[in-house]
Amino acid sequence: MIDAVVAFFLLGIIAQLLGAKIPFPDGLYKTLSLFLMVAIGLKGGIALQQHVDPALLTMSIAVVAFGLLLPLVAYPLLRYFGQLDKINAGAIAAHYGSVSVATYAVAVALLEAGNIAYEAYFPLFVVLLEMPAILVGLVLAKGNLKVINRAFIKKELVANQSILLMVGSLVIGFVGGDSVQKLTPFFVELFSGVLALFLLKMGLVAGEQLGTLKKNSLFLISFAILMPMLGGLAGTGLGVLLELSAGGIALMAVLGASASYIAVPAAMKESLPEANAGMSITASLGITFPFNVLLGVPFFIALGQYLGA
Amino acid sequence: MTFKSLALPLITCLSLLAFSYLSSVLGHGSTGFILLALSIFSFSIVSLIQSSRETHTPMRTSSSQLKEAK
Repeated sequence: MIDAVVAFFLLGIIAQLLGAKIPFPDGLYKTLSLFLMVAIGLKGGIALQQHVDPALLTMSIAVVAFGLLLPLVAYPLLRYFGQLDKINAGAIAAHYGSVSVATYAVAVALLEAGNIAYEAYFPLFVVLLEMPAILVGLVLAKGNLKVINRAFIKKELVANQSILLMVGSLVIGFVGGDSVQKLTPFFVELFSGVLALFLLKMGLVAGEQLGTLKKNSLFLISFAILMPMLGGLAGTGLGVLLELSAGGIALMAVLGASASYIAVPAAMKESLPEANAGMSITASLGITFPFNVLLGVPFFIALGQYLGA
Repeated sequence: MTFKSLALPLITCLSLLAFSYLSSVLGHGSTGFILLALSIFSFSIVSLIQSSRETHTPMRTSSSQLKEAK
């Protein structure tokens, strides 16, 4: 039986493929994504109040290493099988090394619906995985380290919207004490409803992206389905190595399987303007995101439960 | 169409079939993975046929043009 939240994503795809004009203002979409980032951070912060793991530093280093490794797996596939140039291969590899907050949110919603426990500090891992892949992708595309200068780090790391919102909310949730509880009716209890609305919009966008699949589509479809499977299995392995709970293993797999379509495209637009942005977005949003939401996430949750039991 | 361009779709199909097996072992539905594998496989075959047609079309044209010239 398909989850009700995920069903809204399917509804969006069907509506777009049928040509139904569902009005969805851009402002609302941005508000919903902002809500999700704050809610994820806040929930993590509140949960951290009860339990701080001393092994968090070691885990964070492992997660950053994981983020550096994923684009290095994607890049040779793109270069050898896709015969893409360095610029486009580097840009797409960066998308697949980074994470999708929406896919993570879907996984969290499914875990909570199934009463499966997961580690509270996962929002921190989401933040940690945003950046390393961008750096690796840029270095692979340019072939040198000169692109990573002070201005780039300031813009992409310190002033990055999603990093700032999630880390900020996590800290507020952690240090806010009892006062944070008054925010929970809005940010915690409405989470699934907001996510359903957000997924409806994502379904509309994914349906639109599917229509743009033309040139190089067989390779792109294959890559965009294979890569989340590889990343997800690698994430599962990391989750087992870090001795995470069943939900934690599933979330680590989902982080490995997901591909960014918000933070990385923005960074690539600035740093690699010559890259074909349409190809990366079609792959990450039009193919990988639907694959993960409909098949990948439920599979990795089942795998996490099996391995974590 | 080269070996390189067909290799990744075939690897993806095999991986999807492996996932479908794992999924059924885990007691989870495997239909989605199988359907996706079949779709990619069919798409690969269609692309292969299209590409071989495109390769052979100019040769046929040139031979018919030769006949006309004779």
